[in-house]
Amino acid sequence: MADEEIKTPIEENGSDAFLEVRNLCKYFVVGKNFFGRPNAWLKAVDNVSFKLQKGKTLGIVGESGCGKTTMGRTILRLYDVTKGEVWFKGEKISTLSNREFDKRRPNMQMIFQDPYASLSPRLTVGEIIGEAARQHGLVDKSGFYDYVINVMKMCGLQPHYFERYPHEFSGGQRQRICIARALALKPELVICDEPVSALDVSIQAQIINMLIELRKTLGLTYVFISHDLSVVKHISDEVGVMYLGSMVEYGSKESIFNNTLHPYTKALFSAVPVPNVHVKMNRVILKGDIPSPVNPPSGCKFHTRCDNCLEICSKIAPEYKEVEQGHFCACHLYNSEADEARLWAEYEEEQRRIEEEKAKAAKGKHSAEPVEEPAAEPAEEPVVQPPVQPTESSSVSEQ
Amino acid sequence: MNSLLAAGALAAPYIVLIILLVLLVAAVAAYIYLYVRSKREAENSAMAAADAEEGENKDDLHGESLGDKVKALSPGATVAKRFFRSKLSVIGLVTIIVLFVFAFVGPLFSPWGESDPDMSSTDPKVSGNMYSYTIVSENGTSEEYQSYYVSYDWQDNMAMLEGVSGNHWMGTDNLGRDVLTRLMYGGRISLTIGFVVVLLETLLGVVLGGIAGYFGGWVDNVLMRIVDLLSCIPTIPLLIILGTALDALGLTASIWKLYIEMATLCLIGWVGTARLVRGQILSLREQEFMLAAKCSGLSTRSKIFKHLLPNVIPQLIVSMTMGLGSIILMEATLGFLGIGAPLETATWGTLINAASKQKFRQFYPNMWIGSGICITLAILAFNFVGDGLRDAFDPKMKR
Amino acid sequence: MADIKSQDKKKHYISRKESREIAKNNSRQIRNFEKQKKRKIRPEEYITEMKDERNIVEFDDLHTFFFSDAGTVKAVNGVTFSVPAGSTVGVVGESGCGKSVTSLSLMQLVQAPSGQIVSGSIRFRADMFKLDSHGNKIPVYETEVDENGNDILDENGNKQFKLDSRGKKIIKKNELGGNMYEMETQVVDIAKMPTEAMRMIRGREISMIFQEPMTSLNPVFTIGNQLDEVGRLHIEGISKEKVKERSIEMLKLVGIADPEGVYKKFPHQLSGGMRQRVMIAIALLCNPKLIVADEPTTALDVTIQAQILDLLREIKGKINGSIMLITHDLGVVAEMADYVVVMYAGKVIEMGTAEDIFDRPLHPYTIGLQKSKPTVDQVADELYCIPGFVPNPINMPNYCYFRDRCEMCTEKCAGEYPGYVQVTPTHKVACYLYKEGAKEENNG
Repeated sequence: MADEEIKTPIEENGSDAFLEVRNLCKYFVVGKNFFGRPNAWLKAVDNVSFKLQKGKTLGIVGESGCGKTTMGRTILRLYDVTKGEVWFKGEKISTLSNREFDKRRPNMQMIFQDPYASLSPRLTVGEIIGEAARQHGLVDKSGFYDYVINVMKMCGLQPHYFERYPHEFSGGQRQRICIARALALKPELVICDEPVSALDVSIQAQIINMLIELRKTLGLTYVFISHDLSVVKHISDEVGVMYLGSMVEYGSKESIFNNTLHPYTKALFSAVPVPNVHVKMNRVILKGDIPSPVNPPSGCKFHTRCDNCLEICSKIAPEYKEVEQGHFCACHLYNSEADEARLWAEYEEEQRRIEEEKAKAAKGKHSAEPVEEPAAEPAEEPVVQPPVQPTESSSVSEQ
Repeated sequence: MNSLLAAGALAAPYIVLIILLVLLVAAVAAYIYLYVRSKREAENSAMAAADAEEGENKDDLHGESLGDKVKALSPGATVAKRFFRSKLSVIGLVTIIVLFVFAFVGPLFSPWGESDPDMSSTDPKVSGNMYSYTIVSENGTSEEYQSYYVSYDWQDNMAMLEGVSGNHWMGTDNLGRDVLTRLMYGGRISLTIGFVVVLLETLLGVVLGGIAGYFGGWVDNVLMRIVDLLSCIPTIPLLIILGTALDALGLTASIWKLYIEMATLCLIGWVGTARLVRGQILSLREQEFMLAAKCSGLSTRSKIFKHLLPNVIPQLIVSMTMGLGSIILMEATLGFLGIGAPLETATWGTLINAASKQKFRQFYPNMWIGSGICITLAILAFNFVGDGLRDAFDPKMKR
Repeated sequence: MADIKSQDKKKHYISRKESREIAKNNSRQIRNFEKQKKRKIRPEEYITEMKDERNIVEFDDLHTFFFSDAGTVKAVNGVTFSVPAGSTVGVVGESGCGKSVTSLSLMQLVQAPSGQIVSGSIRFRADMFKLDSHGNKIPVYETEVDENGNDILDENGNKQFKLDSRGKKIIKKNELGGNMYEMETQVVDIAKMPTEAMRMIRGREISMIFQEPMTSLNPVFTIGNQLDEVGRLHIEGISKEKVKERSIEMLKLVGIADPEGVYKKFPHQLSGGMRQRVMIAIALLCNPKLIVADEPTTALDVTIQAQILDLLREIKGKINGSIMLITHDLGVVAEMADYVVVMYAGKVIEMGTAEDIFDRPLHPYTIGLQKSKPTVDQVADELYCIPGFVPNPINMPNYCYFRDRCEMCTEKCAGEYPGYVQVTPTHKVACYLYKEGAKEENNG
């Protein structure tokens, strides 16, 4: 399954977007059979696609276990890509060799969630910030101190912190150090993985304001991952909502917040407590827990908690399609009748095929191994393979 | 050749001591150098920084005003503080220092040498059977002669043995050698050999464990299986066999026998350290700061030496300290079994060998009880210090 | 000007002399407090009176300090507020403001020996066991009753006790299924109470829900086991079946769909939300009067948080108790709390009803906190942010702790720490901007 390639005509085309992610998948092996062959996967990121233009900010929202962090890390190749492509500035970076990719790393940086765990405890602040810049030849030895001090000032750190150790700082200052470390490499793309969720409210505001200002002055492009909708709304131009590894809704900030389509997004929005005593919420409280991504529900992954669940939802995975201009959604509620009929037809065909496979398998029982796989895989196939590639015409980019 | 070996053997503890001293001097020199350099660097940058500070607003938004008033403990001071708070570890440290002084300075004040027998008390105590014989001369006079038949067995002779006296504070052994002096000389080998063995073990362990932990995969598998194999080898039987073999090679009377045995101990003893280092590195590798290092495209070398190893060092120091005690114990065991250093050479092990003979054990405890106490003290002291260091390094220990 | 680095080091790090002084002071203080704790404390010393009979807990000028190597951390530095019976009080503040230490002080769970309640009192209205002259609990026995439920009296006017087969009097069971003892309501001062007596209150009268549902359950015991244990510990004389019944009832109460199934499961088999429900079930097991919820939803996802908050609200109605909700999330407080206490650097800076705090915030910190949180329904170009950092509560100045971050600072603020100003009967604030009784315009 992992070595299976999706071959689509689009693969040969270049990408005109600053960052483009096509059908990105990241599966973690969670179970192996006796011979070390993987037989269970955790589909952390399952078929995610989007395009991002330079200078824009994409906010990714979702709950824990929805794969947003994994997606960020997979884009930066901190994890190997299982399937799909990542294009950065017209170059396909998902298939570069590690050595080649390392040369491009300064261009793409990441800010991590936990400012306590993401700083090496036995290096001084100056060393943490400047080390990589020196290694990549962005600064020579003589200019090192000034270079680092400059970056530190940009991030609101005082010059005399240079020689101190991270444990002497509060969370907010540590996060500034993390940001300084990323910016010291002069990146164009910064993936912010929950940069403020570990911080206090008053510090959160400082960091967010600083990120916005840095975006202006340095022309940065952010992928901003967070579970906090209000923060995402504040900083993003485009928003993607993820649930159990898949993108369920994607669009410009205005369209997502003003014209929410997917029932999950609606529930998520209404679940956020508002600091106002008079808004006594009539909220959608989702029932049940988030299902395990190792064993996601069949059909639409959200159908187990959805209030608007239809018959089709538990059987067929919805297509991720453009419901209105630049606004994508994966939900059966927005199917046209023709679409629905087609999906049912496909589903029945699929069922028939599975039956046949089973029958075949029953005949050739002695060879268990080759039988098991085709029997197991096609059931998942419709989840993975709906024609979701955004074509050039239906680009998700912002005008 | 033999004399060369002997000379080397005699010199070994001194060499180790000199190496330790050189290391200490080097550390002090390095500290001074770094201090001076940082001062100079600071001076160079003082101008720039001063300019910058002037340029900055007086009420800098991000400057901490209240926070800066709070003084923190420097990292070294924190560890030292926690270490010295525990009474046991201080006792341990003092004991170790006292033992070292005893071993290396003590002999200077002793009138006796390591293996000079005290002959002053020998003459009237010749044992043996007296017999008389008469010689009849030619002229008929007969003269009667008295004579002794002296049987002299060095090992069993008790004649030279002296109890506790003003001359010999702990008496002499069966060869008339001063026990207290031998105890001091014995400490030189027993105490220093531990350092050598532990350093070598740790070096091997860190390199191999580090490789296994960092690279993982088949490298890890191979190395860990070697570790498993090595931990199957029973130490004492191996050393008994080795000791016999070395005897056969004519090394009975040479201290090299002990050194070779200890080297063998290193070869199988690194597995513990390797396991420790591997485990630590495996868990550190998953930390966010390692992801951050990967994300900045740092070289493998700097990732290992700057980010991973410094974080393992506390645990290493603890395990080394604990290891020192166990090596002393091992030397004593070998000495007791009579397969370690030759009995002429004073080590705590060869001194305690006296207790393996019934009559010494029963009637002359002064011969072995001193080394027994020294061994116990040394091991306890190293363990106390090790425990103290472990608590001091552990950031979670709050008391 | 010579070298900023080493100067900074000197300024920044504690010198050996200072460190020695701190250590000396710490050991002296700690010895004193530990000695105080060890001596025998008679009940008269900790039984007091409530200031206001409607309250269930009153914190009065509570000081809890930590004697650390870097100096004395005044984590709670004079906190005064109360929890009225049957209400939810939200304690809000950023990390390090002392809100958690306040709750730990209430439970007598401050990490000793470095952490000590230095002064002040925590008055709590507790149902204590009545003790006879030997210090034993006085049981209530089953009596013979007629069909109307009245005691049948013998000719001397005494109650007739039911006897078991061995002729012993049978102890009456209370509604939880445990032995019934004669109770009396007493007001105790938890700050002065000996640990032994506190054990009767902890878990039975006050129970706590912790932040991390992942770590606050023991992984090697089943859920049922852990529930039953608490039940057996606090409900004396309860039978095995009764305990299990009670545990399952509690699991049902917290909205677990399959209580019998969950009863047999191990913690790792449950999701975070479920575990937090179990924690709440454990907290509810003994019908506590007060539930202290320390960031109960911080570790949970938004949709699960909504469920848990809903559950807490629902439960409060059912059990007729009070909730002290500690959180940093203003949204959660707005949704849950009747009264709000805002803490900053170990002190309460403002308190009032939820309407007071959210509609008419007075203290610049409260105002700033509310403005700095982006909301989903409003759009702002730039977030308001409070400059600077939360101060480390060592060596606090004697002027207002917020002065250095405050944008509404006046000359008065350089003076000593402001006292409380009662702006309205329910609303108090510690700030020089306001005068007694009259509210100024200044309420952003």
